[in-house]
Amino acid sequence: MPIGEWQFSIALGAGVITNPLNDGDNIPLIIVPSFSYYGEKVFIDNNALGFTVFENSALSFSVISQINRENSFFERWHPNNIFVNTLSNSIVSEAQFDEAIDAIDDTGKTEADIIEVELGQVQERKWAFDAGLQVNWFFFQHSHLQAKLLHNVNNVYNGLNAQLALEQPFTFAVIPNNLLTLTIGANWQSKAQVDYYYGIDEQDNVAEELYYQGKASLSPYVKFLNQYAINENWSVKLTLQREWLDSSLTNSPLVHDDVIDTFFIGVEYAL
Amino acid sequence: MRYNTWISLFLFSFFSFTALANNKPEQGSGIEFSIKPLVCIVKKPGDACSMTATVSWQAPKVINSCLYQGITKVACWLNQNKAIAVIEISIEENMEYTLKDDNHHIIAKQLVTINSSLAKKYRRRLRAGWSLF
Repeated sequence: MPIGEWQFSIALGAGVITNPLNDGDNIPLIIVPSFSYYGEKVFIDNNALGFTVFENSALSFSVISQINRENSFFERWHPNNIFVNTLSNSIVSEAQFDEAIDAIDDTGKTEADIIEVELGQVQERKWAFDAGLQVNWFFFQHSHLQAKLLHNVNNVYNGLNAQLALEQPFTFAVIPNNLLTLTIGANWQSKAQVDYYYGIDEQDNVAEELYYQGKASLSPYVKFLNQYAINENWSVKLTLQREWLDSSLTNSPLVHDDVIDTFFIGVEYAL
Repeated sequence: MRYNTWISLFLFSFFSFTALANNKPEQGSGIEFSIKPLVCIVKKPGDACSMTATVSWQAPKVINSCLYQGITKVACWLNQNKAIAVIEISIEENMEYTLKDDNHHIIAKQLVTINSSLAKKYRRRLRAGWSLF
């Protein structure tokens, strides 16, 4: 990255991030903007702000803050909401809430029969901001290991989370201008974070039998990203990612799917 | 149990066009036009450049001519077949200097470029490429 210059790009295409929650909206990927700025020490990279305290040719230590991902699954991702700031939107309207309660009351089932809780039934979750330490290690042939340990800083779940990722880019002589990057990694969430987002208690207005208290979770993932540069500004992107959710997440009555999949294909224009 | 899948295809197209001003110097005009130096050195990329340069031109016949920095007139000469002038150059990006005749036709041109003495510095990206979170 050139130091002291803003980088902007916008990707147009088709894609989705699946939502593992019962009745959760998948997150559509149609227009995906991206921006970054790297100064000598400070950097802004999409949803993250960082300050690099030490850097040499192989290692980098930074203090960072970033938006926590989990609340994105609790948002309503209808098409009309995509291009507006949804950070402060309530996830459940009163009408939706009443509808959900009525649905439970009218099914004629006993509370014990209901083993799932839909997104519309639980209390609103909030966006969390985290801060902590990030270590980057560049080794071998462009291999990149990234580790992050973060703590919530806006009094939402008051716990830790961590991420580990090993990234390896590949180029092929037969396909010039193409870069394939494979990543394997894992997302760790502390008990406090799992409990806040996926736990269910008396605040959620569901039957007591459905209360759930989570444990810390470790969810591995693999990611495939292919970028083919058409020219200096335009490139074609294909990304596929699958994250396997830890049982402490999938055991929650809120969670329906065992995996979170990400898919996107499109073109990107870099300014 | 409801499971919404929301996938939308976005079709797009783009058109581009290039408009180039057709101000080629007259062929065979025999004008010799020079600006020295042609390169302005600044400390780091993006800095504005200021320098003193010598402009000279020579034509096979007596002409009326004007020197332009981009679209700004810098100096004019009446009934001359050669001239030398010292000008102050102050530019923030590469700049074309043109010599035009009475009819505003470009009869000669030179490009003054800006170079930085310090190479652009880079650092490694510290976040995963193309990742929403």
